[in-house]
Amino acid sequence: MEQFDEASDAQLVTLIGRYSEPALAEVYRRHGGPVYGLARKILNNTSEADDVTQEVFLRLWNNPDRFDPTRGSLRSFLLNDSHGRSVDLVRSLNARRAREVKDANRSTVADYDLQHQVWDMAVADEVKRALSALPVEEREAIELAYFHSHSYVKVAEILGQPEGTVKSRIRNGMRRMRLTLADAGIQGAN
Amino acid sequence: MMTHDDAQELLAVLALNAIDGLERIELEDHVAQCVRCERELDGLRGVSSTLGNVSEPASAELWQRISEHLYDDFDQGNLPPIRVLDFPRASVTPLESRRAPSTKNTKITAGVFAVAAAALVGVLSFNLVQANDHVAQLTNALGVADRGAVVAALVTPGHVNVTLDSAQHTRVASIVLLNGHGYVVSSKMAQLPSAQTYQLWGIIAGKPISIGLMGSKPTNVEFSVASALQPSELAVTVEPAGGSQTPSTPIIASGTVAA
Repeated sequence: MEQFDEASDAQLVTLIGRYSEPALAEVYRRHGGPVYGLARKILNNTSEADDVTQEVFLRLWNNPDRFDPTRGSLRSFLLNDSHGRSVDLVRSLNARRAREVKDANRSTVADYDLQHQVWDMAVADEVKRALSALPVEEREAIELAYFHSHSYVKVAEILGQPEGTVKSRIRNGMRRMRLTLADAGIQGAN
Repeated sequence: MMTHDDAQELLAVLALNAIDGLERIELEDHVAQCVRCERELDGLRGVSSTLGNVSEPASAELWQRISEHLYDDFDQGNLPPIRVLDFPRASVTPLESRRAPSTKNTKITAGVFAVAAAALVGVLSFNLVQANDHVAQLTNALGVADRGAVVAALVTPGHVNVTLDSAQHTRVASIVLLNGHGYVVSSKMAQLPSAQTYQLWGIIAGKPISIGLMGSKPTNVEFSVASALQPSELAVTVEPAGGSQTPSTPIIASGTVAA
C-alpha cells in the first residue's frame, strides 16, 4: 500500500468511507498488531483474538463515521474497540481464564515500520513506569479491571473493599497516569 | 437519571470498560449529553489505550480473512449507504510528525497533500449541458441514482467530490462527479412544499446554466450531462415545481468544482 504510506489516519478513514480496501489494508498494517495483541492479552486465546480483530476492522469498514479524529487517535479508538469487544467476549463466555499479564515489551514485534515499533516500545516503557509509580492499591485495581476484564464491582469483591473505594482508586490512578504520561509527551495510543 | 457528580466518579471505570448493565447505560446516556464528561472520558480513554498498546504480529492470513468478509452485509438489493466523511484538516496530524525529526516533516506534509489531492481531485472529465432554454428537457436529466453506480464512482480514480455549502458554511450536500455523470450522495436539504423544487446549476463563465430539477427532497439523485463546457462551480436554488430558466431565488448552497 505504498501510495498510502504518508496519508494520515484520518485521511485513510475518509477513504474507507468511500469503500477503499487499500486504505483499510493500510490501517490494518499500521494498527492490526496492537489491536490483535491487546485482544490476545485479554482473551489469552489466538482464535478468539483473531475473531475480535476481524470484528474491530469490519466495524471500522462498515461504520467509519464512528471514528472522530477530534476525540483521539485512530490507534486509541481501535484499541478501545478491541478491549471492549474482548471484555464482552470474556463476560459472555462467563469464563475467567487464567490470564497472565505479560511484560509489555516482550512481544512488541509488529509487522510495522521500525520508527513506529521504536515509538511503541518507548510508550510501553513509559506506561509501565507510570503504572509502577502508582500506589499499589490503585495499580492493583486498574490491572484487575483492565487486563482481567473485571467490572469494578467484581474488583471490589476480589479486593475485599467497598465499591466506592475501588471507584476512587481507579479514578485517582487513571488521573495520576494521565498526568505522568502527559509529562512524558504521551496523550494516548498513537 | 445519573447526576453529573455520579458520572464523574465513574468515568475512569468506563474508560476501562469495567462497568456493566443499567449503570453503564445511564452513564453513557449522561456522557452523550455532557460535553465536560465526554471530554474527560476521551482523555481517560487515551490513557487506557496506552495500557493496551502492546503489539503482536497481525498476520497476512487474518487480513485475508477480514477482506473476504467486507461485503458480507451487502448484496445487490442492499448496497451500502455512502459515507462522505469530512474531518477538519487542521486537527489531522500525520503519524510521523510527533516524533520524526523536522527534516522529514516537509516531505511527509507534501506526501499527505499529494495523497489527498490524488484521492479527492483526480482528472475532471465532467461535461455539462450547454445553455438550454427547455426546462422540461433538463428535468429528464435527473433520476434516482443506482447506489451501486455511486459506490463504483466513489472508488474509481478520477472522480471529483464537490461539497455544497450554505452561506453560513453549513454543509448542505455532497456531489460526486465522474465521466459525465453526477451523484448527489449526501443531502441535508429540507423537504420543500410540493409547489417547489430544488434546481441544480452549473456556473460557467460566471453564468448559471441549469443542470436539472432535483425534486422537493433530493436523496441519491443522479444526473447525466454532456458538453465540452466545464463548470467552475455548482449551485442550488429553490424554484417553482416546474423549474426556471434562470435562478429566480438566491443561491442556497454552492461549491467549487476542483479542476
